[in-house]
Amino acid sequence: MATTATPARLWDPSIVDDLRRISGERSVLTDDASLAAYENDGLSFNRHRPDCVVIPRSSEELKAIIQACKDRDFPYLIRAAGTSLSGGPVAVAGGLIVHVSRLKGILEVNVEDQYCVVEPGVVLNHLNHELAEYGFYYPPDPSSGYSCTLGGNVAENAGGLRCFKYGVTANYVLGLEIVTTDGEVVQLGGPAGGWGPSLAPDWRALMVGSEGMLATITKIWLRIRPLPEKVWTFLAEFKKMETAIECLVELVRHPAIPVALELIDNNTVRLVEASNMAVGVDKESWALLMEVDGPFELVDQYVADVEAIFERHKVDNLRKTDDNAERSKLWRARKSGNGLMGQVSPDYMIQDAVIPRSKLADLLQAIYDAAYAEDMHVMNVFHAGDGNLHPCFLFDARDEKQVHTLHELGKVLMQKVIDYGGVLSGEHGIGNDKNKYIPYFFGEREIAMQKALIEVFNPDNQLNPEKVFPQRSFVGCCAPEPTA
Amino acid sequence: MKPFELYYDPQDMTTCVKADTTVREMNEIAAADKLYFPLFLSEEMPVGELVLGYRFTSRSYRFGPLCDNVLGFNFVFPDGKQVKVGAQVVKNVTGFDFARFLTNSGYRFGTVERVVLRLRAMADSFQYRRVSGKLDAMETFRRELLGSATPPPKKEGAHGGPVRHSRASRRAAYGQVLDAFDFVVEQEGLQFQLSFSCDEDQVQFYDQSIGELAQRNDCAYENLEGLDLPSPQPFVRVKTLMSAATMQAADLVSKLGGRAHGFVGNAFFHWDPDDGEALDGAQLGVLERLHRDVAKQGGHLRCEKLEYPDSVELRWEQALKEKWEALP
Repeated sequence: MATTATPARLWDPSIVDDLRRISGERSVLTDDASLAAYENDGLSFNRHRPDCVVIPRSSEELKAIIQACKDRDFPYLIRAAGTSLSGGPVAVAGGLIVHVSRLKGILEVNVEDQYCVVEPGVVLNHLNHELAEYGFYYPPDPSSGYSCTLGGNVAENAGGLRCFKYGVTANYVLGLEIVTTDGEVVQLGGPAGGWGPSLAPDWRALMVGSEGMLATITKIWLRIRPLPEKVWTFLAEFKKMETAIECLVELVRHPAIPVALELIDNNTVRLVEASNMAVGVDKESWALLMEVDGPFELVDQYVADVEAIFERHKVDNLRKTDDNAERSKLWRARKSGNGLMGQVSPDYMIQDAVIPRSKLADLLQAIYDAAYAEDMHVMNVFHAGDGNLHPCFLFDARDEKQVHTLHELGKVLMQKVIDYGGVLSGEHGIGNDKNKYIPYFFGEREIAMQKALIEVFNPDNQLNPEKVFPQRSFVGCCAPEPTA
Repeated sequence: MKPFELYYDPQDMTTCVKADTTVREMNEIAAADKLYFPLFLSEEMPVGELVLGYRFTSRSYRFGPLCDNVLGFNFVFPDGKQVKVGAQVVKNVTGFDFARFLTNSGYRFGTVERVVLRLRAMADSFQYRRVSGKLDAMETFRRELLGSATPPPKKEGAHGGPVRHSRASRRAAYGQVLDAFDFVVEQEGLQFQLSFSCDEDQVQFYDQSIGELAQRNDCAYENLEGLDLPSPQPFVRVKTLMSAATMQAADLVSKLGGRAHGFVGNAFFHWDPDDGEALDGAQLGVLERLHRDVAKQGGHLRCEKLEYPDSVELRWEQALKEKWEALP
């Protein structure tokens, strides 16, 4: 399975010479201290050290590296910031990591046709900082925006807080330039969006969320939007989970479409309120954070509607503001939660699953019951409008029993998610963390249908092996040595 | 794996319907909960045909293309084998996104049997307006309504790359709250057709905002009964750039006659000649040239009468079909 130790390989050190010729001596890392930084992504307890890391300075170098991997029959994967949470950009089977953070060019911003062109290593918040100068922005906003890159966002189909109204990465990708494992450079779409000469399947859509298994992304065309003129933020407190969720269901159906609808459970409220990040929420409460945006005049008209909905559901306390500094303060109740969890626990794991909203209360209760029965702490801060759960389990990775319990809880949770008509992941991806649950969701034929696509693009599993679908082992120059 | 069952969940705002259900039948049920599926070219069109055959409709301006609103389906391969594709939730990154891939794929891989759709909240009032005027004035109106802000002077080369931007227009963020922004080009000229849905007490705001913008640009602004929806079976479909769509459509109509109907925000238009069967080589040459123009920008032109060169996508398609034919 994905979490076993990296096996011994038939290492071909001459590839290092090739890589140094392509990218220069200092761009190729082989020493243990440097490689240790690439052992894991945000899923910190699942570590696998690569054999080598190369950091290309241009997309031309990147293409040459892919060609070298092809010629040498060497496994490789593409990685940028490594902020993902499912073990995607990790060298489970050893081999080469191609680190693309230097490919950070914002190549074009076109406000009239409302798109931009970027390289895969551009940091999300850097792009939005740039776009703000034009009065525009790129809406998907994973919480790692200060460091995550757009190539990673595309590979994982990243979501975030604003998804409820504005959608996920897939809704914004107009075009991609990719390099196949054969070394062929192909442009899918572009500023106009593409889709080929006749009624045709959307190949670009398959690249988005493909977790780096199909091809290497070298250029991205993204749709951008004008910044909203005004935003109102509401922070509502409820004594009961059920009441908060009933209110949420009505808010979701407001024709104004909330930008974000985030639920913060009572465990997290207590954690935040006991810290220096406290925002004054009653410690016995659940909190619901909501935003609406739009033109000045219209968004002000929404406020009374939204307040009326909260009142109908007997909100215990409601704060609202259109002042940016105050809005940031209200958001602290949501955004400081995960950081504080890291302060009170040696390790924590954020799960990711989506279920129909109508099943939220049942599933949340099931999560608490299962975790408490195993004496494990769990907190829930999540994108409730989308039904996108993020239970955070607090544990100590040094304690094997706790790690075992965590895996058992994961199985229970994912089975319940599937039983409720949900999916294994809404925005974090499957990586090497959830591939064991794939048979919960897909039947034999659906798995074969999915793997058929990999056989077309990546027939030897040379690109990012061992991810998403179990038994995707690369068989090449550095395959595990035969045991018999 | 169990296929999708038929259901309607107003709380979750999703439904699973048979592929031969019409949009009207589905929306009549959802209307009881003030919900609807906003994307259609004709309410009488079966959902399966809509999902496999179309990319955009008028309300894609607000709700996105069909693939943003189709959550999943039971897919049937030509040999009768069935698979479940996608899910019944609004966010899903479990495996490859075949729901998005196969939406609007025609019937090239197979057909759909049941479809899971995302429903939307219905506002109290649906309003329709027409804007007409001279071409230049209409272009200015379009740019302003789309809400491009004026960029400040910009230094080149930030974050390691050259930055360039094209001409921007003044901000008019109420363009963000429209449901539909269509254009119709005939020999008589160009008109925009707008739709917005809102509470009764907000109609005045929209009317005033958009009407003033039209007036400022010397365009006529008047009420409409409804949108003049495009032909469900267009002769030509063109995906292009927002800044080019109306001009390219006007150019086609001036050269070849007929009528064009497009979606401004999605830069997609349909064109129907007066008599498509009678188009001669020179006229098809006009279409070929337009195809080459839009292809340079990552767009396309689709016309059954034109032949297209082989592409890498067709190679992938053939390889995938062969693999899928061998599914267990």
